[in-house]
Amino acid sequence: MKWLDGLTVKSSRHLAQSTSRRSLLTKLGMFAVGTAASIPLLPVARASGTGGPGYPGVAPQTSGLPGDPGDPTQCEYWRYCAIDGFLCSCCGGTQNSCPPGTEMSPLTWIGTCLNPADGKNYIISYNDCCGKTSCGRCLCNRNERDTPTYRVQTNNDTNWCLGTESTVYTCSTGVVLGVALDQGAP
Amino acid sequence: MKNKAFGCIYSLCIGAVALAQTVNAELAAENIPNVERLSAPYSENLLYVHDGDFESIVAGKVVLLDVAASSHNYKGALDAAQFPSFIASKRKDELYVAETFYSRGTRGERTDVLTIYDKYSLKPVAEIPLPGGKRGMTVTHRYTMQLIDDDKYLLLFNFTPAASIMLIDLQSREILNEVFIPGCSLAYPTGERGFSSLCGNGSMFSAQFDKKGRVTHQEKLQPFFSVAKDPLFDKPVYVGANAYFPSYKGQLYPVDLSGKTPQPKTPWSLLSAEEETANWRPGGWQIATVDDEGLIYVLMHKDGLDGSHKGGGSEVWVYEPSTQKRLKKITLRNWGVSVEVTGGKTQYLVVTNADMQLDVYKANSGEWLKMIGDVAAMPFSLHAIR
Repeated sequence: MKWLDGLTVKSSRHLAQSTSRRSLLTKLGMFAVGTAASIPLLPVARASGTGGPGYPGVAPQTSGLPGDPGDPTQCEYWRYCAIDGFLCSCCGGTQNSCPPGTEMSPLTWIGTCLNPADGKNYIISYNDCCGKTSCGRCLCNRNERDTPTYRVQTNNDTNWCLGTESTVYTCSTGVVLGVALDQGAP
Repeated sequence: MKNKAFGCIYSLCIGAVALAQTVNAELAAENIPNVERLSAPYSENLLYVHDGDFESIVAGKVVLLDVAASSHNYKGALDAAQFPSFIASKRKDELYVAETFYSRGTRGERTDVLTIYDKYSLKPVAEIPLPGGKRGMTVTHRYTMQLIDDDKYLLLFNFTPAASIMLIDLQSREILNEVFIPGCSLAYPTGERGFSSLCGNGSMFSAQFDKKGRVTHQEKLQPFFSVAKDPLFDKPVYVGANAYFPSYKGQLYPVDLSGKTPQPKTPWSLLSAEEETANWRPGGWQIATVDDEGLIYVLMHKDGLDGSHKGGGSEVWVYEPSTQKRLKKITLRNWGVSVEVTGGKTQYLVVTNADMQLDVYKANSGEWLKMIGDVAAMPFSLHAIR
């Protein structure tokens, strides 16, 4: 989807200053992103019982695909490097499918994300799912290579529920389009 | 003895209650219905707080908040539906919301409309239907809708993804024109009666209208910044007719928008060499603002990297654009996401913090004064009266 709320902080000191139980940070699987030096900055020990990363009470998943590591219900999942919105994996869909009764937008923004399994950059299409009210679960904002609205194809502040019956935003997916040929900056 | 003492105290208490009952008059019956109305003029420290509540996008709001008041800060609110745009007139008693509705809430027939609110009753007083289902929807962003020519005309950004700017006459309540801006985005007031847009190749498109809305001039500049190396934020601040666009890596690009042709000026750095080494950068949502003296406030964070440009910051740095000098650094009490400075004799720096609460500082000293809580779920855009 769109928007900000990307409260990316860079140090644990900042984090301590900015985090409270009701902080928006606690709703976001936020972490600083960018290079291999990414610093996970999950704000709180999650209430999932594991104390690990993830959203409180959200059961872990896998995509089931060989070479596709990580948990699609977590913001750190490699495909979500430029995502912005509620993760459809937490909303009745998956990392590449929409929840029942919604409609997948044919128009999207894209990201270029590094798959840690094979070390390759992939083009990811962040198709929004549309037509039902905001899912409200697993809000995630990451902005690697995100550009402002004037380069809209790589902008996640835009409501990409376009070309659909309804422009009402529900959640976002991260669909693999293929291996990126150009791994440079936007 | 104890009983006697107790009896004494008991008598005193009864007496005190009786006295209180005789001193305080009975409460009078109160009127029903009883609805508040804002009085003119607004407080000069009023702030329009646009809620970007992601969990309730179809039914958002804009809150009117008096940040200086010691009580009754929350003055009222406007509805604002489905990635709406908001702007307040400075010349008329009107507030504008561009919004979208569906006949069945989240589905059904789509209606786009410019809703015009009375500034004091906060009731909608007029609507201008927006045809074509093309209104641009983005996270709350002030340059999706702007007023020009003494607030006689309104510019509205459309995106389908074909991008265009609609010109609306607020006197006649008519749509006068629509200018397509392929590859470009948003509307920055320019010249006597026009706008400019930033474009994906690092250039700028610009157009002027006559009073009937006919295009009298349009052009596209040569690229003047590199989107690949250091994109400009699409949220400039205006000092007079000069727009200042911060870049991701801490340059400030002035563009003179006083005439029909935008004039980009030489950019200058917000950073010292040491700060550049430490990767101090602008970041957040509403990353910058100005005060009444034309000083520019920028929300900054250390250790910036690819993707940190919306993450907010720990400090606000204040610059004098005429001298390109930094006047001070304000260390925030809490991590900040959006910044605004109210107008008036005492100006207040208001910062949306990471808890989505509003911290209020004295703008001139940076002294933290108070937190105003639970104004909005996600108060991303803050509009001062200026």
